[in-house]
Amino acid sequence: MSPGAPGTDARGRLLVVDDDLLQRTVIGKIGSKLGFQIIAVSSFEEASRLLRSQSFDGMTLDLSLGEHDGVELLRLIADCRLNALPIVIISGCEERILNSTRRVAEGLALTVADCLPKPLNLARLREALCLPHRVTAEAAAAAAPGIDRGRLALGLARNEFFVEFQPKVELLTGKVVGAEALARWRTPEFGVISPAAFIPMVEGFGLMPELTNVILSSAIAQSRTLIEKHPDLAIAVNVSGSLLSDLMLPERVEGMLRSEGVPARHLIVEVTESVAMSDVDRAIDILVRLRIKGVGAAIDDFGTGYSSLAALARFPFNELKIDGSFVKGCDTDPDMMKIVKGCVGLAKAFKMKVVAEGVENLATLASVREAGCDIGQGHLFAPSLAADRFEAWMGRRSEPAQSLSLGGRPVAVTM
Amino acid sequence: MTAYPLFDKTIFRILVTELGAEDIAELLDVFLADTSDKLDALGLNYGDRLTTKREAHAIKSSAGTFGFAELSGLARDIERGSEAMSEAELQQAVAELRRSFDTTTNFARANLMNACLEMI
Repeated sequence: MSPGAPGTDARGRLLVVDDDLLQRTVIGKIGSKLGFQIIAVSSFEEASRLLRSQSFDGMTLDLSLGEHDGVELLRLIADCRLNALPIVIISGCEERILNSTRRVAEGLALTVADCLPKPLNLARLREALCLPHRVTAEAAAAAAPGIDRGRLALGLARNEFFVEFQPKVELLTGKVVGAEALARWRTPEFGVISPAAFIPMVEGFGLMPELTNVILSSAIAQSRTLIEKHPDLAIAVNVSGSLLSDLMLPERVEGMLRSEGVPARHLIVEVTESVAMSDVDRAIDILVRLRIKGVGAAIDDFGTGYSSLAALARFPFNELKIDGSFVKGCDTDPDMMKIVKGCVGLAKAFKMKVVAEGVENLATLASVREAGCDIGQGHLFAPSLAADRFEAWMGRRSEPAQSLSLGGRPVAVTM
Repeated sequence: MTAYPLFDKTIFRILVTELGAEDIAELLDVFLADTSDKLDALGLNYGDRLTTKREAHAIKSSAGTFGFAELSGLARDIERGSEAMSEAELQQAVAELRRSFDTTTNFARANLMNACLEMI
């Protein structure tokens, strides 16, 4: 029929779902020129029947489908476990709706080849249809093995918890300005247990004060040698909001710093405000006293908490860490970029430094730089490293050939 | 009311490049017949603003695909504004849309169809 259409359906079967005849025809013709066998339908019912009974190698989906909408169909695709089916989402709706739909699809772990506004950019449609299949990320939820309060307490007593350092890099210069000390737990019987699994348990069993003490003292002790070689480093330690009711915390921290001979300006406490931070006045009291002593204070995971904005206005933070969930999407998702830029604006108004968490690739790096973030942290620079590896990594970066490279990553690192 | 240019040559050229002249001639026929039906549906359903919105949305998209900027723009005005329009205003807007469609049809038959056929 169309000139140049291959006789073989080399690319397989393309399901075109669109209630507009002309649009269906245009997409069908482009698909067939690319070598797809076209199956075009105009309704939700036809599409769902076909998706349940036949297999396809690609799909284009117009979000407006008369009585039903394309989002219902996306859910059906997820229910049918067709997560590997590449889908091109098309819509004449405004951009925000299209962006949100992409997030719905990604939330369902579907493979979105592209999201196209109307009128259709035909060249982009062609490119999206040509894309090779992407492998969908399997959400591998780490199931916690049989761990109870007794096992956690035993781990604390046996010193099974330790600290790794993830570098923080100044975006303008590429200079390493600090590191976040992250809690790790290695057990003889279960191996390394993910913090995503053990932190909620530690919090739930009321062992956070003990763990924080271990992490604080270990991080401060190890930071002394790091600071001797790199005098501008600041080491950040997470302090749970629930701990900011302990009025002795500032004195305890000061005691630890003094006994290791580490000046207070080399320490930052990172606070994730949460519902647990019930006594706000007391928490402010504690943070103000830490700040007076010279310790820095960062608001962590900014944007995900219950009252981030209120906390920003009332607490004496000097650093704002934008949560990785906003940073990761900001190079492709304009809505996320708006949030990142908004956070930067807020932070600057309070004269705070802005840290972008979760910087994993160069595109994201370019975006957070453009947004005005001061510091970046994430796998693009380095994962968390044991102190000796962190030191070696710092050494390699300061070599002339490496100094300009932002991705001077070590190779195999045990997390 | 915003004045729109009748036709955006660039968009049409891209369409011809992507699909080939023969298919365009065929598609133009589909478009003209389909849009005429949609305009009839619009004219019959002043009371049902949901249908108005949907048909206007569809005309906006398909006219835009060919580069028929005026038709697409007027349809978009109806899609966005129909809820706030009185019936008289809507009737006037649909009449304007139909006039634009007639102009577009004449233009397409006189210029585009032949151009496409000559290219084959």
